[in-house]
Amino acid sequence: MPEQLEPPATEVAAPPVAGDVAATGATGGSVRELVDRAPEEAGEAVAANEKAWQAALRAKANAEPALGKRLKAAGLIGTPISSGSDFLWDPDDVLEVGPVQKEVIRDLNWGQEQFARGAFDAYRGQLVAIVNKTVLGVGRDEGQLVAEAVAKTGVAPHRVAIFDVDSGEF
Amino acid sequence: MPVIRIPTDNVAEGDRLIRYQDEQGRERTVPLLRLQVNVLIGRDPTRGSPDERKPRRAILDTGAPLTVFPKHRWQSFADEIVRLPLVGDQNPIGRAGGRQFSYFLGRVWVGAVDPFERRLPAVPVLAQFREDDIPAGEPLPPILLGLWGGILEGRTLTRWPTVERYDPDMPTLESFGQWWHLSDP
Repeated sequence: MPEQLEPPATEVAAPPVAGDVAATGATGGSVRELVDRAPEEAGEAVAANEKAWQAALRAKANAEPALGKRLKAAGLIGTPISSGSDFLWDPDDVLEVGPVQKEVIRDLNWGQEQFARGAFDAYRGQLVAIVNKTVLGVGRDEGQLVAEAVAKTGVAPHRVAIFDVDSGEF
Repeated sequence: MPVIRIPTDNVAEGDRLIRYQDEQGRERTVPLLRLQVNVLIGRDPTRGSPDERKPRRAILDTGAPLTVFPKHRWQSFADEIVRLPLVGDQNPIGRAGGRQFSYFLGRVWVGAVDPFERRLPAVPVLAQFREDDIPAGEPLPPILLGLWGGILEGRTLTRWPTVERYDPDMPTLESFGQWWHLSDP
């Protein structure tokens, strides 16, 4: 069983439970409305809230090493994954992608954010061409989308991110 | 020990939402999760050479026996594929997502990258390359990374349970109670 702890002393609202309609107000959810209306503010609020909880837990773990071990084992705390963690991996062993690939990944990540917000719902089951967080085309032919994006932007073909919008079928 | 993280994407939206009442009468929704991996097609470049492989989205599906590339994705890297003939008079008919398809078997080198700009070295992957055309109006299928002969070979796939709801690196990314990572030994 995870260690049961008191909430942090500072005033921090607990994040809503995943899938808990009661916590989000209604089906479809006020959280979703907030994300649609002000995605950056919503993200910051969530992050600030989560960080406060994490800070409180980590402070307890630092004060009591035995408790800290149990908290880590239970997954209640962990150092940020990309900066390394003694129960995950050594950050020095990580292989990084190349500079152009980083740009493509950032565009794919942006596409994922748009998908999560519902902004790509109309494109489900299709391909979206993205360069610099801009949608340059939607369709079903990857070669044609890349060619059009290259013509519009002048970037190399391998710089064009192709985001396949999940149809949601399973 | 090169390693990548594999985020869980929730694809449940709109009419695909599954809502139910729990034992206390509260309405809840079911997240429909995918393990999202970006892949690089082709061998790793030699040290100092430019890497022009493009990250492409794929789904890690341990329920799929083999890796499957749909035609609309493999056509752009057809020259990277080594075709492997089937022995005897087998019918090259496969099945994924409830749909039957014709295919050819082949091998291609595949690297894996995560949203945090880390990668795993490319490995040779035995895959089915779909030859069917998806009718207009039907959703295009994703690249499926299967259980055998693919990017999982010789590697450790880990599911780490967590109660941290959001990713410490990407605060809008939900954990859904699980952190996944794939690592070389």
